[in-house]
Amino acid sequence: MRRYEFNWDLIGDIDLGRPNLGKEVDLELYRLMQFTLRDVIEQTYSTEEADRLFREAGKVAGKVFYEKYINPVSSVEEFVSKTQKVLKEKKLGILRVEEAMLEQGKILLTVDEDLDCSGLPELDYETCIYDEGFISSLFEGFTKSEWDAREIDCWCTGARTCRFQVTERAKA
Amino acid sequence: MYYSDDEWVKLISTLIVNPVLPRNFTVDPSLLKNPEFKKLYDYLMDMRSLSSALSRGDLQHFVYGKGFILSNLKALQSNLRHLTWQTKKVADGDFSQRVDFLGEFSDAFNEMTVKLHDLTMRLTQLANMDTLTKIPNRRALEAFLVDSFKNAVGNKKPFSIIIFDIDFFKSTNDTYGHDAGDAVLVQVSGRLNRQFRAHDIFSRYGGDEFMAVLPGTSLRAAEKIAERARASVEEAEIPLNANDSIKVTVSAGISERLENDIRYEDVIKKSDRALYVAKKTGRNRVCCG
Ligand SMILES: [Zn+2]
Repeated sequence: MRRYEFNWDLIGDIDLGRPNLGKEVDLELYRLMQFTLRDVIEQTYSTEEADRLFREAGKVAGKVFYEKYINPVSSVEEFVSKTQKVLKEKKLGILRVEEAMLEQGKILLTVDEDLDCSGLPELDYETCIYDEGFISSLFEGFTKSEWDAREIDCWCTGARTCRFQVTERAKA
Repeated sequence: MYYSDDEWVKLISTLIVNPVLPRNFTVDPSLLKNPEFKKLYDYLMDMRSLSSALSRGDLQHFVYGKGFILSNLKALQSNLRHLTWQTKKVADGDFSQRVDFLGEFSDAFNEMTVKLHDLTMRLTQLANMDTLTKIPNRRALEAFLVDSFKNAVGNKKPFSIIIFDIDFFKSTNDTYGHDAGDAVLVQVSGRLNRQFRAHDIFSRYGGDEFMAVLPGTSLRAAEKIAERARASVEEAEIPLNANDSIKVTVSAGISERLENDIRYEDVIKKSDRALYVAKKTGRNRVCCG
């Protein structure tokens, strides 16, 4: 019997529960949660395992997010524009497409002002692993086939930009 | 090998400034073993290659170095690549694309997509409108028939078609002339048109024939609407010019989609037969098929 299998009910009724404080929370504290969780998982297991778990969690999030906020969409165009719109509205980041070859299973995306890493110092490694899982799940939701997303580049120019290569597993 | 301060300055400035690296240009391999120098050297080489690719319009050149100048160049590259994607979308007819990251260019691009959108809407409207009566033409009618019939079959909803025909139109034309004929078409279609709702279509089907398609409307309801429309024409005086006016009437044939009507043409055929009956049995009447 599982206790934590995700469903939206676990999140509860935020409007009802926070009549005074509302829906928003300081982004710093969201990141505090992420990075401390990552810290503990890395200490308990390993860096690789911490990355893997974060990616998997991102995948679960992307899946339920797609069902709740993106579905139904009937064309690639609608999928992309709706995703862009929702991600911006929800303040997750500004998604832009550099290249979309859906039939060939190759997409190149950038996300500006990413929730997880905008403002981070320039690191020698790509850090948006949760987003990798999240983004791949959005494509899985839309195409019903398996996708992988990898953050291939991440740079600071005022708004930090993350570049993701998304590929369909069967066509990789 | 030892580099004097002057030689250092010369080396770095060559890497940054020279349009082409001198043919005999080399860096002492032992120097490249120094990780700090290697990093700077790679950075400068990335800068050279990316900026040169951008200046040639090559947007496929990716470098992975980070830092102030490279990041700015990458941001420009990414902007241009996104713009390329957006332009392709516009070419595919998606005029909702807007740019907000390229200064004056954004304004020009956005103005272009807004104008393309407006122009396309205007042209589509013109292409779907009958020039004389200003109601939807046959082309618009067919598109509507395809969608609404499919919808009715899929959702098992009623679907009715009314065909109107102006009685003795040919003799009106012959007696009063073509201008009068045109005036009759405009007045009659305007009166009939008022009886239909926004989700119906009332269109010019042919010469003096008009077709109304009523999704979600049963035969009985359609009959009432057609009768009201017929009566509204019968009671009208149609002005031909400042002094003269005439009276005209219309006949109508109606039918609705039944289980065995698998194409919209089947329904049209039944309405057509009903119209024929209306004509045969005295005109100025509505008959159901
Ligand atoms: Zn990132």
